Amino acid sequence: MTIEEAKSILAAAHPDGSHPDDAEVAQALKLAETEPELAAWLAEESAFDSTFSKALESIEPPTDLKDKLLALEPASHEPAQEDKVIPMPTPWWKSKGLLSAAATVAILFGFAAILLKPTQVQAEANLTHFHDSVANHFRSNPKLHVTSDDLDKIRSQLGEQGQPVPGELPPKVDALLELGYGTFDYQGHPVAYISMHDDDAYHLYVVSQATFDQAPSIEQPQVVADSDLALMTWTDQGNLYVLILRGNVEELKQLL
Amino acid sequence: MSEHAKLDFKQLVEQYYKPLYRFAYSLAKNEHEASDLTQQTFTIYAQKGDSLRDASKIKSWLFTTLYREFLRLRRRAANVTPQENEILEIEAPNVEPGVANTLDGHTAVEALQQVDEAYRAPLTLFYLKDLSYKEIAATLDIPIGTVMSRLSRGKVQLKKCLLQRSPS
Repeated sequence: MTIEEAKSILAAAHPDGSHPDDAEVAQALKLAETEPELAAWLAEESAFDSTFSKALESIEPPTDLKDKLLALEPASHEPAQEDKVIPMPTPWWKSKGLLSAAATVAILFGFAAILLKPTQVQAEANLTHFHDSVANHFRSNPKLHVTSDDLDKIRSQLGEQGQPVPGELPPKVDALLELGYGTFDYQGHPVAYISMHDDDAYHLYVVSQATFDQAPSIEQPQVVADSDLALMTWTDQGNLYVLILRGNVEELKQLL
Repeated sequence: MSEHAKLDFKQLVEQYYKPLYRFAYSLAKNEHEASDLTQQTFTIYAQKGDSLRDASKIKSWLFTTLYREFLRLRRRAANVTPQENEILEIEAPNVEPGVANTLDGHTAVEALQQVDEAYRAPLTLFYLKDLSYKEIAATLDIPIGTVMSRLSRGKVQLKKCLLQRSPS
């Protein structure tokens, strides 16, 4: 490590020991012990950094801010006993027994080729092919065409471009933060993908069910593994959705 | 319910509202906007925090969310993309101890406002000392090397700004 490299590292670190686990910082600090020029630079830099940090830390928020923030605490949404429940068709993410159903679907998937009708077999083959395509697309780390963290704006723009528009999403998928979107062609049909993240990165692929001659219909989600990826698939309101994560299926199931 | 959802909202507010407000104030230089940004960050957390499964990443998530909200509001206010200017001078000027010692919070924010926008957020997060440079990279969604170069260049600009403010 040269002195200039050490300066670059120490300029970005907190040499006061705030982040002691960083090996590069430790190496740069060790060099400062033997290089007087670096040691003098570090002393001056640290003194300035410390003074500037203290100045920033002296800024106090308005006195009522904390109370306003505490008032934002989410309330419990347990339904009151007297609330009437009106039976309505429910999407899969609102139905009970979801996890067990998803697991059952995954197990039954292996028997599908034997048990299902020819059209269903074709639908499953279509789905497998689409899975392979979007998994390969995801692995290629595609660039986003448009960056946006506003799902409504993404919907609007996709609609204007004649691309598949995602409808209502399951709550925990909807809760992911959007980064942007892109589009590509699949067998001459448009596919939209939306990059999302929480502490993991996801792509949500959206394609019209009309893309397929035998359209898969998946009211209960399928969660399957494909090598290093996990894919969750469902259909709703004429769209087929595939949510992909680089991880295992258990991580995806937490979004159910 | 995820593990994260069980975390105490009050505890999170207690722990992070001050550094988040300071970050917001340094970006917006406006008490009202800084308060709004901080509130908006916790509002989003209240709505979406349940999807966070790794409690160790909440701090970065909060700073990231606040920064994204700031950028979103800025984009809405003026359709301007921040540009990173080239700086020819790499060596930082020396700041006399007397200049630095007269710094207060508002002077520090004034100086940060004079620094190029691309450097402002990493510099502010660096001086708030809540995040390591690797966490700053994750928070701002930029490579670690970029954070290091922006901090290095940003400090040069910051010191020049402070020297220009000095009466001597």
